Amino acid sequence: METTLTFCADLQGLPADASHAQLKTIHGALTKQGDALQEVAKTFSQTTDRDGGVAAANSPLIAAAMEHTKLASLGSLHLLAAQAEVLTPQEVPAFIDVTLAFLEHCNWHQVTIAPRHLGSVCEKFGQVCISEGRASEALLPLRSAAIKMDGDRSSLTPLHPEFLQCCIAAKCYSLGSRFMDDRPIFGVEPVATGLTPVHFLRHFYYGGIVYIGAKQWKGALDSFLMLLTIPANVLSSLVIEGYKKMMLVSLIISGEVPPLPKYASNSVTRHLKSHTSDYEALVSCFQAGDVKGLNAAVVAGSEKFIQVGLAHADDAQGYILNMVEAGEICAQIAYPAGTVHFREDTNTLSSTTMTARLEADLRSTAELTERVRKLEARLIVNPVFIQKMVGDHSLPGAGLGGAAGYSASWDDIGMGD
Amino acid sequence: MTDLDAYISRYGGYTKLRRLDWIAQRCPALAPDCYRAALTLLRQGINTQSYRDISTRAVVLMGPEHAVDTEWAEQVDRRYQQSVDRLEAELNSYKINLIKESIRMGYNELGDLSYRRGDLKQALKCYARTRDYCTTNRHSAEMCLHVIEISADMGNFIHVNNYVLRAEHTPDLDSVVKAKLRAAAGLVHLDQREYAKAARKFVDVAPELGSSFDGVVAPEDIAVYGGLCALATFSREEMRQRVLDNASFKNFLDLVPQVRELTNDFANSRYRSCLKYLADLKGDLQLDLHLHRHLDTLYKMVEDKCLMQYFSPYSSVRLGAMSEAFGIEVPELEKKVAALVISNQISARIDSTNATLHAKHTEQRGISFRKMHEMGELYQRELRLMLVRMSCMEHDFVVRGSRSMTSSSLSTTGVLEEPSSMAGLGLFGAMGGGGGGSGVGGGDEDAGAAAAVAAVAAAEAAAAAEGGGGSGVVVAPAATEAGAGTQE
Repeated sequence: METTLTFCADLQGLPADASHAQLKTIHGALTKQGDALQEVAKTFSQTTDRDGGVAAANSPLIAAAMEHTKLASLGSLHLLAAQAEVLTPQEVPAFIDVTLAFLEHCNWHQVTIAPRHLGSVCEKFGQVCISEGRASEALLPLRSAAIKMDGDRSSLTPLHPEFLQCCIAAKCYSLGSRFMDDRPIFGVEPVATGLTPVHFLRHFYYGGIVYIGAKQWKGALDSFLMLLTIPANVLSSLVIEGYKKMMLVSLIISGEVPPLPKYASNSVTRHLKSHTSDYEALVSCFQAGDVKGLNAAVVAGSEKFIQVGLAHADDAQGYILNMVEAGEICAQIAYPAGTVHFREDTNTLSSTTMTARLEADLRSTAELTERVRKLEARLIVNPVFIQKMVGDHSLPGAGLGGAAGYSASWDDIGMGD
Repeated sequence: MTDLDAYISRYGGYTKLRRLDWIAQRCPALAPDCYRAALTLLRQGINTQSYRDISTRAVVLMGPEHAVDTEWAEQVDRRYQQSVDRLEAELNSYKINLIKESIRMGYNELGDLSYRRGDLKQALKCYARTRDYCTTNRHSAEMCLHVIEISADMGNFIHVNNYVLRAEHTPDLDSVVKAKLRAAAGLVHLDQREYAKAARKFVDVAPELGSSFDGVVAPEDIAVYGGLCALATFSREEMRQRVLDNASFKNFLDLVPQVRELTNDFANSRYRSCLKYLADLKGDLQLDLHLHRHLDTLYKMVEDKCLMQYFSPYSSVRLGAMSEAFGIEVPELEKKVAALVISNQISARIDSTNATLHAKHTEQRGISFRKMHEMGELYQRELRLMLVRMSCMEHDFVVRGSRSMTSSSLSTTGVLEEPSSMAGLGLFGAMGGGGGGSGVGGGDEDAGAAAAVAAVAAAEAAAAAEGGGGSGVVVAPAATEAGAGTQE
């Protein structure tokens, strides 16, 4: 504890534009203190428990973290990270408050040195906010933190999934979907952001759910597709659940479920079907236009599905009205006769909007192509990547040697950080 | 079946027996007649195996007067064995003397005997062996035809196809052989559900075929198969060229007047009578050995084509009038037309309140614009997926399983491993194969359950476990900034 506070004092003494190496040294030293800090927090919570649970005083870690939020953000982050590991229920409100203040005021120059610590603090923060019913408070801080952490790299950070999960818990789907639309993900940088595959899977799973909540089916489909096509050696529950929802979403969009793309990993394509038989049955009923069977399938799996189905003519009218408003179909409802007249879609011909749309398409395509070009330029001079592609054709490769051997090579070619 | 005797007399060889047996199984009403005819046939031959088989079944159905004549059967068996011994002895002596033509004949005789006995496998073997002793084109064509005939009886159409191709490469085939090969090729295409190709083969069969191929198909069958497949798949133009104006195919059509009439009706847009002929024929065709599997598909194709052709000149049609022309009730007709509209085979819309069908005039420009937009979207999406995937590859960012959640795997990566991933490890495997249930758009996802990654694929896990040291970790990139820090 004392050592850590000494480091905090050191950090305070540093100029605002302290060098990367300096910060790194301190970070390394602080990291070694992690266990000791956790001990302190544990001892404290045990004492308060014995004293009859009087939570008058906060854990010393939280108090210290609060004090150092602005100037010694790195130290503060380490304190919070240690506290997050051994958080007791009575400390939760204080933890939330401090983290809120921390995310708002912290010095990002220091904090980005320790992305993993930041990720774990935010993960705990998101979880306790949700369990305390304060998810809506966490939304904006998490979002701006994610944006700051990402910078202009357009890559995924560990903060993304936390933000989306809070969106779901707070039912703020449009906030989440707008965030994803505005900041599309083009890659991962696990070294710089401390991202793990679990983060990746969670982000695209929650992303799909958020899009579903916002009724943006295409976005949801994209998100689930991303979830299914990440290189994987095993099938994960998130992928299974994501595929189930993807089947339903593609039924809504096109009335059919497209086959999995061929670039999905073998282990996913091979084993996925055996876990989704209920949903397969539902899909086949839907495609056969068998409303009765569909309802039966839904009822049979009612603990799995949310009840759907057109009960009355009123419902049908409502659905059609919604679709007309969304511009999906072109129709008029004649109230006296109780009929619907479908007309040919004539909107698309107004050439200015169409031209604008196509131009936007072209622009974003050109942008994407530029990204691909850059990535390719980077990859073809990356000896590790080439060696892997040449040596091991069974993608996603690197089964042997594993992650450990690989990390060493990253350092060898000066890309360790 | 209108007349079993007339039908079955078209065929010869093993297929006759096979067809009788097939009809008896498909249509219990005809079973006694079939068994009677089959037994008469078998008593004239040497196929005691089938005789015993069918007798036993006939006794159950028709009483003891059809009981197995054991004495006769044994006698036939003995005589057969003697013949086989004799032929094999002869064959051996030919082989010793290396007289090619005699060896070929010997095998052929053995093959014939086995064929009559109903031992198709043995017969096929004998015929196939003659291949090495064929000296003229006629011999190889003969060998191919033998194999084709037997393979068709065995239902092995891939084999038939191989030998048809082989035979077609032989020069100087006479017209009967050519006709046989076309018919066999047609059957192969039919079996593989390539109806247009089958139709083209059948309508090109020369009338010289006659009943010479009765071990496989009768000329009446050529007319039915060819006619139906052509109706289902040919365009109007092709129909006229290849079927109606085809003098040689007319010979076949004349054998089955119903098919001739219905093709004419189709060409002259008399759909009602065309469909009626089809419906009348259906009962008989369901008993056909080769066609029954394809009947529903072919009928549906023909009907759809009729509907599409009927509608093509109009801009709107009353469904009532259409129902009159087809002899189909309006509700059912509406269902059929709706299916065609949905599958985009008719460009039209149904006005269900006024029961009319309106042609849809599509604006090509709008469609192509929209298509362009869609293509663009698709391209972008694929590109984005690809970018992320490549980026994952670049950083060796792969979802990995692990053999077990032992603490050793944690200690290898050290205490510096981030708490977040440890939480993930602890939860790992909490969800078994099943996966937790959560509603669509459900607001409250259980964070813990969702974070758990279940190693369902044991095999994959084992493979990943070969990775040695780092394999225990769920999380791929081990190059943490913390790790780097301590190395310094």
